[in-house]
Amino acid sequence: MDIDGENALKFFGKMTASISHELKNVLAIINEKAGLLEDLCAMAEKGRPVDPERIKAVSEKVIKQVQRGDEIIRKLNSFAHCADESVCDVDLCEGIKLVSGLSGRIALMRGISLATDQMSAPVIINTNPFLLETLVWLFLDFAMDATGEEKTVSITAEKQHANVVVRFSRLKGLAGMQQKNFPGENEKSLLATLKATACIDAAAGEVVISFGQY
Amino acid sequence: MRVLLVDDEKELVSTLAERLSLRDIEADWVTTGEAAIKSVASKTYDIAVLDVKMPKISGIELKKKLEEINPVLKYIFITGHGSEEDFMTASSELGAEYYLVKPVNIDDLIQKMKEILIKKEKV
Repeated sequence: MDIDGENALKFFGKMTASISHELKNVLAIINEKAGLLEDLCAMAEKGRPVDPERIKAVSEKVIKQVQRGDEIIRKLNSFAHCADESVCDVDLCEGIKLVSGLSGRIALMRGISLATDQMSAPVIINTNPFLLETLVWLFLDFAMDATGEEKTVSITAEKQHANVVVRFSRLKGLAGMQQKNFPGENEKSLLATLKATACIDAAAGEVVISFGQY
Repeated sequence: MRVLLVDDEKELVSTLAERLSLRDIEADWVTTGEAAIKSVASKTYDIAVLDVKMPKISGIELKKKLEEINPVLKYIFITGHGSEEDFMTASSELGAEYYLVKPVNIDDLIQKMKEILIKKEKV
């Protein structure tokens, strides 16, 4: 397997492991809520009255967790379908939002917020969707280490002249990380495969991936 | 029996605490490592039930900090690892004698708590 394939597989493993943990939490909550309803029923059978509002509140929380689980599975399904085609038109904004959504728990564990709300209009490029998302993840992983005290990574995609760029910003800790070897071999290989370049601007607190000729 | 439950999933930990209380087990709950440290510093617990993966501080790191405050506190780890086998491998690194995989069966949890107390009394 080549280096891009290895990186893609590692990315797949990392994301699915994180998603499975999150789904376990959803199931654990539903399990406890169902158990609580059983407990309340057992109390009622013993003659201790149970407020219907209490039952309603527990049921509403179960529904909320089902919706949460459904959203996680929807993301997982979109992620799985990224591997359907080796090259196709991809909306970078959607791709970034998907990687950001999939990485949500990983970011939370690191105390980092991910901001993707500044993207509105689609930014389309023709590329390999799975390798593109692998590249976005590798840069996001680096960016999460570079937030400094602000603990936020802002990610945007936009057209800039003939190029399309993905920008990771608010990286206040970048200046202190100049010694770190980034982009490394993994990122360089993916950048070359996807015909992209990367630029680190420590003073501006930004890392930019640029895809040419769009 | 006094128990402190620590998990960043509020709905999970609060419901579990309520269900333990219905079984006459005094259970407090918190959702962060910092809050757990404060709780253990201000109140005596027999057992802490810790989620392995939490934001900012892991259950393993938290155990080390809590041990400094209360050396006799005992621990049960709860994990979202995919399978018990996965966690068995990881647990050798944790030094975790007692652990459960999510979703937790409350009877199993109480059984483990009782085992810990019996062992503690023997010591």
